[in-house]
Amino acid sequence: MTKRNTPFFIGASTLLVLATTLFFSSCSRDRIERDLNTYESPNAYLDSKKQDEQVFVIDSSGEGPIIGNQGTAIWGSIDCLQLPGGGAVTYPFLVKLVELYTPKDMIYYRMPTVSAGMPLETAGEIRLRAEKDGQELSLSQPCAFKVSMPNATPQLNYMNVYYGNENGDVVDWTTDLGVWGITQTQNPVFDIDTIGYTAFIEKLGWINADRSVATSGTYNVTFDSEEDDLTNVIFFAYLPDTKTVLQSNEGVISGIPAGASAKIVAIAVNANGNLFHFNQELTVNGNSTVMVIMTEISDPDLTTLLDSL
Amino acid sequence: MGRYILIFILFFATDLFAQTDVGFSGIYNFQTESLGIGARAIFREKKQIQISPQFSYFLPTNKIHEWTLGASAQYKFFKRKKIQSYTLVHLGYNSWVNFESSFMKDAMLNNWNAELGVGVVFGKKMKPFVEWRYNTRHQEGMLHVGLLFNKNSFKGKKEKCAAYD
Repeated sequence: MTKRNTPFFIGASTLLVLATTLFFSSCSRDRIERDLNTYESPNAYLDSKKQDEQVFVIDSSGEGPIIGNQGTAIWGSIDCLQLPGGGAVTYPFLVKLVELYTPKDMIYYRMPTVSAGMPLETAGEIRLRAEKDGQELSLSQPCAFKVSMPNATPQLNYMNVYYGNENGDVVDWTTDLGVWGITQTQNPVFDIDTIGYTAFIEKLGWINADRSVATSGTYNVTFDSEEDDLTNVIFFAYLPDTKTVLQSNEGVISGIPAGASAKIVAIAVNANGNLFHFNQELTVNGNSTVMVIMTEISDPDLTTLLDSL
Repeated sequence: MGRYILIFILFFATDLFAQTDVGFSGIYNFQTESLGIGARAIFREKKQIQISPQFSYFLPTNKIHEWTLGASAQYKFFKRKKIQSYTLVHLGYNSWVNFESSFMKDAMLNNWNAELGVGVVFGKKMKPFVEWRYNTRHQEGMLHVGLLFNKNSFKGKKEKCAAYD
């Protein structure tokens, strides 16, 4: 480098550093836009609170039933199970069960009761799976497992068997077994027994004792805030009259029937790991917007709030 | 604020600084979407490192109404014919007049701002310039477009006498 070129190279280097600094420095509109509280996804918190999956080792034949810790009873035969390629299953194998019977547990698991965007009344959700040497087992056709889901006041010919159609993080409930290429052979309506609702299920996975609440004429609730950035806040609506759980999608809860009383709960976690919430009760008679102010809450207090829904 | 402006005008008017460039500019702040006007002097114009006292005022019609009085250190790193390029560091005292209407939690009337920038000057007498600056405190980018003058700016060309041709 000649003496003549030195200033140019110093200048060019300075310019490079400056350009790099400017490129990596984010510009901010904080002076004219709201300086909102920001949150991170509460999924890790919700995962830490959700119901554990119970695992039963089935090593010999028996009359059953397998009973979950919340009272779900399951009867099934090894002859109804098949390996992914259709092969026969031998002992031992595993049966795995998740039981969601309260709105709190459905919220923790983010398992709303919605079918094609329309609300469902629920008597409980379970996930029933079977596994052999790490391979997911399925029911051979035509074959079924019997399940009984605990309920203190079951109604005859009221609840239908809904199956969970998992699409990414979303589970859409459907009565149509044709989605999985299964021909329905069992009664799709729950009977009642001494435990509660009972039915023969023809597919393993998510099972829901449900009844359609509305097929049209539902409303949306959107959320806005002058204090909080709601991007990562998850909103839930619990409709006590129908035991319906709804969850926000991109900040909107949809599928609320006209005239429904809704308990809104929002959950978020800030960058320090502190828990924040918002709750409000409202009667929905049209599309509406709820103004939100998130407030910090302890884990026991949020648990109590969700228990009181 | 009036006292500062008066000092600045006197500063420009003094013959003592006849060797300096003086100028004005229009300013646009991209983040606050605000228009402003600016005035400046440049000492040591012929040198590689220059000092430039500056004043800027963003009008009350903007979302941000403020003025800033400060000085830049400019480093000329490229010069060819009538084009000069420089980088700059600016330190200024800022009065954010309408800070109370901002959503910012720590908005204040009186602030010290630092800015980094790069600019290009064209010409030798009347010199248009363009500057891009970045306010490190508020993380805002600004464009300054203006004109610099010096003592030669208003002198006409010397006419040659035909008798000497």
